[in-house]
Amino acid sequence: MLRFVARRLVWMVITLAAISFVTFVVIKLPPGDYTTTVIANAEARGQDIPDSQIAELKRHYGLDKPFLVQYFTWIKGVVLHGDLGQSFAWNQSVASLIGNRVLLSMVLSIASLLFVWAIAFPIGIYSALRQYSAGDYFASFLGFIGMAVPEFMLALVMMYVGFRYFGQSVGGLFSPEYADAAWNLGKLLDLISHLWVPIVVVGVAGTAGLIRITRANLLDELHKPYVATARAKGLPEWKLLLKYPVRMSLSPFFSTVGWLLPGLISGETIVSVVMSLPTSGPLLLGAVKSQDMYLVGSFVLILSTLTVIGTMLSDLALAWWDPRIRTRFQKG
Amino acid sequence: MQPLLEVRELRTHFELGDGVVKAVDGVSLSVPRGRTLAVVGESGCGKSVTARSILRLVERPARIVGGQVLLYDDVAGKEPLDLLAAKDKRLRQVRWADIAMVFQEPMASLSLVHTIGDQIIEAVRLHENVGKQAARDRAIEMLDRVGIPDPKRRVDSYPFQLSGGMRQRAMIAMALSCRPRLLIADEPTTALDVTTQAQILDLLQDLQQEFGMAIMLITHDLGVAAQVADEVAVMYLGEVVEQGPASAVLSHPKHPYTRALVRSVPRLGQRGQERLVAVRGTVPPPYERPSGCRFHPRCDAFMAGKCDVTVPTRVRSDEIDVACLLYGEEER
Repeated sequence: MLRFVARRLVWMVITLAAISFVTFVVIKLPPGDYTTTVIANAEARGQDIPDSQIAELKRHYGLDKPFLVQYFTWIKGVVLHGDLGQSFAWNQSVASLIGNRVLLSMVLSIASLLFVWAIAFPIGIYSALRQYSAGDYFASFLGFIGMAVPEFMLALVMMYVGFRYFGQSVGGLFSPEYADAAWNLGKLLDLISHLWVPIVVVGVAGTAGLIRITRANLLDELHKPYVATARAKGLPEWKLLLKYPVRMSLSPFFSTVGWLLPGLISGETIVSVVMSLPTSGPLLLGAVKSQDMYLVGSFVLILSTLTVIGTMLSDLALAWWDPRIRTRFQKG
Repeated sequence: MQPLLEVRELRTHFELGDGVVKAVDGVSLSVPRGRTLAVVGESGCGKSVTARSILRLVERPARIVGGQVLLYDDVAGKEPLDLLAAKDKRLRQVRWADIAMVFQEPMASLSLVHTIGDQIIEAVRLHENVGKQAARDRAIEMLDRVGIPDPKRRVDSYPFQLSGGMRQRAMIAMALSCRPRLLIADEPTTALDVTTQAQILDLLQDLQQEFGMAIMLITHDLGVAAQVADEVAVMYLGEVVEQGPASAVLSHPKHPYTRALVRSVPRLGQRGQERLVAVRGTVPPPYERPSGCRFHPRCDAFMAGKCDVTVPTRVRSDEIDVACLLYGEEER
């Protein structure tokens, strides 16, 4: 098992190195660089920036150096000092810029993930066990609606309802009076009172999808002979269903759970833009638009690190859950 | 002597979209105490459904629509328990403690994500008030008894780590772990190779000697029936057409269907030039049962105006109960 983990770690490092390089190449692909954005902005304001100042900017940001030098300077900072570089547009270090937002993103994502699980698993299991019952049809109906309605639409509707009928300050994660306040109990309560709307908005599609998946997986298992064996043994119905087919039906879920990790900080971009949530999604969107290359590069690097770690966690979780996988790991 | 189990006029139907398939339609048979009854017949004659109906294990769309399954107490004179009318709770007590089952596919009928020990211990603790360690000791003892080498280690193995024969042995160990009075074995050797099949059948006979339980063996293989059975019941189209001592039924069958079946089995020493005789005609489609005697369209002894009109009732001829119009008039 240890050997397996060690081997996977080595591959992870190689994968990440490759990803970071490719990312850098992709960022550099479009013509121009951050100075192009500066010039465009200046022209939009009717100003003209002299060539000498542009050259000065390029030198300041290191954009005049060859591509490879830029890459290695950046990656050296990341690896040796954990320094993700500077954001041009914000004139701040990338780390300080995204730190807060990533935290809020993760709070939002984890909360909506728990929301999805808490709702989807029981409903999915119920739907499978009572296939074609009125309750199953109702759950399926809601599920299809949940999957079909776009998140931003749902966000707008809920914001309207929240504002019109409940007089809530809509948008953002904090009321105006708390937005810049230091953390205290009031701010926390304020956050929670705001958080449920995006949780529901972000969670609805996921809930709908997971209900369908849970139901389909469980239906595949329900009529297998080992369930008949358990029944023949005299186990009470609910106990045997939970111990045998439900357990088996969760294996596919474990094999994909790790993919949720990168989604934790980038999954809710559109909703965040619509509801102006101070999470990381909108920041990434803005950075890509203005070719703020170290910010984008760092984001992609963080996302891919999470993806790779998530995949590995998935594999380990699956091994823990399913002995057929576990024994294979132990052998090789 | 009082039988252990008596099935009377059992009817289990499949209610499908385009009609009702009467898979079991008036099965009557009795299982003698401590002996082996083989239930034989072609695929689709309803033998497995009969076996499952005894413990009420049939699932939608199948439904038990009538009949009685009487389980007699060891104390003579006590009222038998009708399993089809029993409350769910009472039925669960009978399952495994009084009547246990072994299924065709050991790989599919054991849970692959639970250890063999776990599955045996669960059954023992469900029906007997014993501690974990005692139940585990019982599991090891049973695994040893069914000839699994190194049972102390194997008790913690998963089913997929064993060979097919060993898996079926583990299944048998599980079935006998609560010392049932009746073991229903539904094609227990069909998925195994011939050598393993012989070993498993020997094992079943040894265990029967040791534990004194009755065995109801479902098989399509007359050779298997001849090897182990004390009694044979022959099924055709959801009915038992003949039941009697194995030696009598297999060497001097009464019913034309049994005769045809016995003729169709190759024998050692049979001359190579002789063609095997197949049962004439084909099994009629499931939605239409022939009138009168259900076997009449394929019968060599068909009597026009009689067999296609009158439904034969069971009569005793020599030691055999047979449902055929050739018998009875003079013996009745």
